[in-house]
Amino acid sequence: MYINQEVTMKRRNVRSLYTALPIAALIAVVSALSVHAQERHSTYYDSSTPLSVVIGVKGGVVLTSARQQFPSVRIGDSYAGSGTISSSFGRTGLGSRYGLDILIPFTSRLGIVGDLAVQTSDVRLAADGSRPAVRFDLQAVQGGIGLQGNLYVDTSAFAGPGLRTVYLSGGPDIALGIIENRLEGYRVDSNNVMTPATGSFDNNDPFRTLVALRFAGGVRYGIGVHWELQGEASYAFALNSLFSSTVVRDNSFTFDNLGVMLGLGYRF
Amino acid sequence: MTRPLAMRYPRLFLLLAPLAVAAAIAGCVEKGSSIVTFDEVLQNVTFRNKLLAPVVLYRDGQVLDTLPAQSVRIYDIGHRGPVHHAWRLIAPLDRYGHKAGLETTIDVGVQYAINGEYVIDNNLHGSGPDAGRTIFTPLVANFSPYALRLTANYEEDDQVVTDYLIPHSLDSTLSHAPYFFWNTHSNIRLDAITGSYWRFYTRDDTTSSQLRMDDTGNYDGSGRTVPISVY
Repeated sequence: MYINQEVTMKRRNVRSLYTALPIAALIAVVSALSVHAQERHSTYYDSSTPLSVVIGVKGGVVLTSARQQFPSVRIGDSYAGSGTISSSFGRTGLGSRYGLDILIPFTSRLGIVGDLAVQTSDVRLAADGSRPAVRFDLQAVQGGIGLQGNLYVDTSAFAGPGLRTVYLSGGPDIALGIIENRLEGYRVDSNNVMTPATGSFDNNDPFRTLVALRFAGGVRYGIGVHWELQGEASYAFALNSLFSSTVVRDNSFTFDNLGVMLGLGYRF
Repeated sequence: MTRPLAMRYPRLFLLLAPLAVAAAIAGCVEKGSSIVTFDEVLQNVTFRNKLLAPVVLYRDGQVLDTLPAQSVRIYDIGHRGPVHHAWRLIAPLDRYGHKAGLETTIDVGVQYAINGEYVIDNNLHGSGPDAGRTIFTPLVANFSPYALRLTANYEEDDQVVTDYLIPHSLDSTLSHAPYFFWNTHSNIRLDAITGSYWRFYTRDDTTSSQLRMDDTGNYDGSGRTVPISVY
């Protein structure tokens, strides 16, 4: 066979790198900010304002819900397809999202936000009387940008601990690249007997660039002059289907994500 | 004076760091053991060979066809399930019957498109030991009185010394050319097989009298260089 083990190892290494890079970036950013804080404390009067840029790390859970029907697929040498599965069998799946984010305020009330994150979406479709349950996991690098408006601002809280802002934000959230996927379903034999099976799409050809509109609301709470905690709830509504029409005729399937996240930010 | 958070709450950081790593690892998706395909009948696949050399096409590890240089062919599939394609470059033979140049194999993976299309060009897309690299073939108009022996990437890491002789006619080169890796210092050395005559051309993306990729017209993607005239 022309596919040698070295190639497989290279693919694994690349995927490990995708996972390790955000973690390394998180640690590097926190370390750098910590050193930065130490330096500025020693040189001049310390302060932050609602107009200061915030860079932070943010992570949490995402709850995924399926929309439209999941296409019929085959795992390995399955004798027949799984059959399409209606989204009415959809159950909430639990995934995660973690990454870096930035806030650049224009005024004390309005700013631009951006984030770069790794998100794992977990689509679950319950069993019915004739077939087992199906689970589809998709891990992707997500990039988001949008506007943030502060509903509440307490300027006195920027000098120390306290609730600083309550905000709403919104903008596009784009899957910049698929890292990995995994389908837990079933294989059908020639007697129509279904047995559990697990597989993955071999490459990213089946996937479209998934674009969602992401709306969020949250709070920023100061725990020091520069450091602040962030709590956020978001909903990402997918605008297009996950699979390309060139690979499957019934390609309407997509999913939405509800996220609950905590973050730690540094306000310069 | 306020100390940084990491200094004030070292235990918090010691706790958060492994938690962040654990959350990241828990969020990782492990690849499944089998290949998933859509329950669709794959109709056909088109291979478009832009190279100036023939390639062998493989389907599921078996030879499918030999695709001539600069040609397009469509192959029927007509069934469901995973279909895997790959291609291998065929190097020309030198004057002693040995292969001259690369014979790289590129795995283009499982086909998902109902009507698939793959373009074979000098940027090696896919997977395999040479995937991601770029290849070139030097186009030399030999007006000298000598038969010239080709060495590519002379004194580079990927130097290839051949006994391939540059013909006086360009026609044979356009249908079955030898390919080599294109790197930042790519070059060719031409040595007369009799006497001490030799010429050396190194990569220069601005001067056509040196080694420069020709990405215009029908030769875009072929990896052919702008013709170099040797007198």
